[in-house]
Amino acid sequence: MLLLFLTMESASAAALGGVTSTAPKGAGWNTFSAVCWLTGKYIHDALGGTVPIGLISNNW
Amino acid sequence: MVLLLALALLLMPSYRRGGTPVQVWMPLSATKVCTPKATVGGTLYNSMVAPYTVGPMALRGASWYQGESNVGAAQFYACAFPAMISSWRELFKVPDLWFGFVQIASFGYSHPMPGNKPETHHSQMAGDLRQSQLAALALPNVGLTTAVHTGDWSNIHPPDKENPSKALADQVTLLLLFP
Repeated sequence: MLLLFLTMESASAAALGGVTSTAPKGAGWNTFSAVCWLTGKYIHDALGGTVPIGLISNNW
Repeated sequence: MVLLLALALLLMPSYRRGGTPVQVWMPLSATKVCTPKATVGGTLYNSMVAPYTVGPMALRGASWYQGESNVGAAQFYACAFPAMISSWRELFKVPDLWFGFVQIASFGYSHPMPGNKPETHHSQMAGDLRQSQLAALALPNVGLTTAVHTGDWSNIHPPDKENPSKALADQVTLLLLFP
């Protein structure tokens, strides 16, 4: 029997679609939901990059 | 136009150590119609969702990626999950709030279960939970995608975020371009 327990990690730049945060360390993506951010990014791209998209990452 | 998208991606530090069940993200009163009765609930709704309902709030949609902590309670989930969506729509005063969700990912659900149940029992319960998530489709303006094909055997937080995100984003984009 094999049991694996993994700790949570902050989303990597790769998981966020290759985009890195320019925010200071500690104020960047950290635990912001990758799925939330990517969903907003893809919508933004699909609409031509002209429509502001507000995102709230609400998770525990 | 500003689109606000709330996401409740509910994280589990690891299996058996916690994570959050659906009932904590909705008012406890909204679970009353469900069986078996939820004994706790509403906590994270009160602290993390309710403040956003103080309007005006131009919320257009929400996406949801949770369910792992309710594996084993599929009957309850099939009631509570759509009840949560309805309660959010009412509380945010956005009756047609778009709500997209991700069916829980494939994962090595093989931990030994209490009561000498076979290890496969847990995988079956995860399948039951995925089925119960579909109950939300009875509501209007609900979008579904799945991570059942993009999971990770050893990580309940699968590293693939692109596929579920793209699927949800495509649905939202189509609705915005062709309302």
